[in-house]
Amino acid sequence: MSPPGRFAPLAPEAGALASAVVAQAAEWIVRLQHDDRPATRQACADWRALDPQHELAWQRLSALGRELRASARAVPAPLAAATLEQARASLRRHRRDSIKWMLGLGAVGLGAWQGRDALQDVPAWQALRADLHTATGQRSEHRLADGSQLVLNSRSAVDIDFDERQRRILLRSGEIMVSTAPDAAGRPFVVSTEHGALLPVGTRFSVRRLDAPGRPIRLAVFEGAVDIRPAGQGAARRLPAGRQLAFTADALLPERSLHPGEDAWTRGMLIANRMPLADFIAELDRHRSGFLRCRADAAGLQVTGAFPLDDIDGALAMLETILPLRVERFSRYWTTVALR
Amino acid sequence: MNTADSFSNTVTTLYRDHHGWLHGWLRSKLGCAHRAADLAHDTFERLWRAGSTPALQHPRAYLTTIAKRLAINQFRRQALEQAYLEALAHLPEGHAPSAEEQLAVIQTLDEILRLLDGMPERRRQVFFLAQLEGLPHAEIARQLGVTLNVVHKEAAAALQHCYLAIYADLPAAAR
Repeated sequence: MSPPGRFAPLAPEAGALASAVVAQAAEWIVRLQHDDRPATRQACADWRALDPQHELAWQRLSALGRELRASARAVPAPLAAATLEQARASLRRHRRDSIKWMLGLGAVGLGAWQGRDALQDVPAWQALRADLHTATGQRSEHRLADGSQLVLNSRSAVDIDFDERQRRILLRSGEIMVSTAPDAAGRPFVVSTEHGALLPVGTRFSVRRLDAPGRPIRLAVFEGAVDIRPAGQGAARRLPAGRQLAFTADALLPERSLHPGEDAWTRGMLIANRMPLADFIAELDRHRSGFLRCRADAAGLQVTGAFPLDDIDGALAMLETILPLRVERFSRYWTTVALR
Repeated sequence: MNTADSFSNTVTTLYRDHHGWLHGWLRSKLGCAHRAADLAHDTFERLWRAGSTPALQHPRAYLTTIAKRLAINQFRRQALEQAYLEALAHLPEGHAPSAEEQLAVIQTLDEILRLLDGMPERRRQVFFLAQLEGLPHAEIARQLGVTLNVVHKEAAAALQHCYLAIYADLPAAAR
């Protein structure tokens, strides 16, 4: 599941509120911004206590206000205003012609839907602006200027930023395997991610960022060691060879051992060792265009074996021979795996 | 059969019965077979990800509603990315944000742009000045040449507008 984006509904299960109540709550919030005399605050507290719906409206609008303030801190105001006005103007132009047919929708009703929609469209933006990227089903190997080796897995994108002070790789999306070479100039090697920096100590390691922004990044160390420096509250940690963990800016998740063969993707293979079918299918899905999922009743089966990543249909055929499964193909782009 | 599995059957049946029709409908609207194919596909993928569907009496109307929403999302995102790149081009040398910062900014602005949809001009100005620039209401009143009372009213109305953008799809509360 994607994480809730900013401006996700607060307590959606409590349902909709009467618009008059929302209007009153908005007035109270605005009033307290310029009038915080004790009597006003008390009157507001009385209003909130009068009805649980009042309190809910107050909580929802307060959460909205906090998120707006957080947004304002994240984006310099002039840049935000210029960009938003320009984007609005261009949307208005579009609406006059090519997307008239969408107007049947109106503005109302769009919102909550999109609040659940943190996953949308990000990869295109990342991939198009990246120095190196791979399409679905592609893998690519690169020797960098310092002699280090970089492998990109399917649907991955990185920027390479080497200068006189550092050798830096920015992971925008997907998964990479890095084998560092010693640098004649002694520049440090850094892999930057959304959640923090990784500083290898003479090493081979992989980093993956598969999900929506905000989800943990996974690090696996095959040789040497890697220092993790989370961008937020998370503590720095050195991860030795043979170990893997996922981390966010604020937390390191528990580490565990690497299974043999977890780097097999660099050779075009997926080696599964009692891997849950849902995870296995998700791996295959990354390497194939279209939609590939397993049905809920089959998700818990375990898969063991070696499968070709360059021939997903072949891998699915193998799966049918080793587990009680059948592959349902509804079109070239829509495939599900179900119990037989 | 458990719920999750009957759901996957529902989506699969919808796909079998309506995918071809949806693709044709989108192609006729968009005039581009590739975009139509992508959007039709994304529509079903979105259904699958949502994890449940309401009881559907008019499945095609439901599917076209989702497809329209996805198309609007895409248009909005494209317009925003374009506008952002233009705004960045006007920044002084050396002030360009890093790639990570750019991505975070785009994400944030996309969310705000969604909230702003349909907000009247003056309300939007008040919203920008109050929420994004953090100006006091008295200063906003001065800049816009309106009374303080108008600023208070517009600020409250802007909050309500944002509220609706986020909560409009919720069912009525049981009281």
